[in-house]
Amino acid sequence: MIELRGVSYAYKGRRALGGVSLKVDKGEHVALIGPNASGKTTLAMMMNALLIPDEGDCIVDGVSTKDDVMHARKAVGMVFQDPESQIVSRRVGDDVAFGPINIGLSPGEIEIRVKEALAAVGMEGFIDREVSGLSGGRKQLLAIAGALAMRPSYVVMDEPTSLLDGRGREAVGRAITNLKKAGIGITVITHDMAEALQADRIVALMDGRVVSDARPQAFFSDEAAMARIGVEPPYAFKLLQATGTHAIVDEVSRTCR
Amino acid sequence: MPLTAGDVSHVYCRREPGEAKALDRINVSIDRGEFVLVTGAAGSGKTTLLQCLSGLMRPTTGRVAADGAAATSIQFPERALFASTVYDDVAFGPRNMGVSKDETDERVLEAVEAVGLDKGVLARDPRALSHGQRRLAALAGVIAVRPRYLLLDEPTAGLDSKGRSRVIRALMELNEAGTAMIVASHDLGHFMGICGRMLVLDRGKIIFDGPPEEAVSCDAVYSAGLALPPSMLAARWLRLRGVDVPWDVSPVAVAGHIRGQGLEGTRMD
Repeated sequence: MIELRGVSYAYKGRRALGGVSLKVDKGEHVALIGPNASGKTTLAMMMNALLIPDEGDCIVDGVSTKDDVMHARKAVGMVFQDPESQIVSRRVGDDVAFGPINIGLSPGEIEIRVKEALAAVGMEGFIDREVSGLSGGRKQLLAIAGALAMRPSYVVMDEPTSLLDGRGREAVGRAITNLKKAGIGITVITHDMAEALQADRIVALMDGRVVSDARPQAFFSDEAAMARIGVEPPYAFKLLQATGTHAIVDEVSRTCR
Repeated sequence: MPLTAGDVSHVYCRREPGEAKALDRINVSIDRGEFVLVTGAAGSGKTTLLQCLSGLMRPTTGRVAADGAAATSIQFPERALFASTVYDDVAFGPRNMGVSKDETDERVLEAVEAVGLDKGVLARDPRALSHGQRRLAALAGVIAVRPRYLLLDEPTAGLDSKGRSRVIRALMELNEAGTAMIVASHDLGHFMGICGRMLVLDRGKIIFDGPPEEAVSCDAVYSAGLALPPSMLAARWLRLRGVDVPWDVSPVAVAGHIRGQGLEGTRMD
């Protein structure tokens, strides 16, 4: 489990997080939402010890990031908003292999992991492609594959779908479902409420504090919480309310699964 | 004469192993004052088309012509902010065009106003602004060039709902004032409601060119890999069952049609 206990953090005196507590379990899918500059990315960076709390603790599987940075970095894979900043190689396969090579795995094991990670994001056929020829969306899937090749216990994704088309969103949605089944804990930062609806829990941040931590059904029924962070329920949720369980709801949820 | 592309094709890595045809004989003509949404799956050619139309890139074959300046806002333009004040950043374009100091002042003010930013930001360091404000400041820099055609690549990506609304409002106002907008985006939910015309690309070809109201009845649009607005998927579901509704049908209206037409138990096959 990743557990944040009263985490506060400030950038040169400007407070980004003010006493945040929250848990993400293995096999759980948590959507982290909130306006720009509400602290979402800072929170994500706490989870794999890219940042260390000024106050409070971030505890990954029982170990505080204050005591052991490497423990959290091995356990928690990160996918950032900008795939360009995470791509290091010219060939797709080499890029995914970068992490496994760096931790000294055998060539056979590296090959297995590269194939497995590319398959998880639906890019099996791309192993020999040049990265420069990929579209923005595919680069984002490649960045996710790079994190998966390290076989993390948790994955934190910072807006992984903001540049993806329908197929890309479906592919990321499928990847998340697969990772969940494999027992990986997933935290996804998103501005897309249709995506948040697919999570087990929605955690809403505002000015560095958690203003709501609830199941999607409860969050999207909580007018006050939604108004505070300036979001509306997604179409699929309204449709579910208007029609009850119905085939048409599956149809409109298709692109965010 | 409007902004036109005649038989435009573009091939990346020509005669190399990674050769890829991004645009395949595109013919399009965009008039002054139009608001055009360019959409399509990843790799369908949206960015390439924008770059060819703006003159940033010369197509492999074919011809692009325009009767006025075309300016481009790239993906995540705020990453290209470089000056130490917002003023200097927005003024960069006009200064490079040799515009006088007074007129540069005037254009900078006009551009910052057009995107809805307060004049107070001009003296500030762009890095001190919020993400949404930085996006708007970057857009102001493009507007200060006073283009007749403004091409924008994913102008709302990565913004929260407030930032998105501000960008969209700025684009609508500029369009009303006469600037043609050509927006490449996956954000169909927002742009289908305001564009007058929608171009759907699939593997470098235009498969749909018309008003968004007509897209709902075009089968090819559904198989082009787009992130279609949920209302449009609901509309299609109803249309396939003989109920004619617009693409932006509301959830309550959908429920009404389901009850009214006795479709309660209908399952998808």
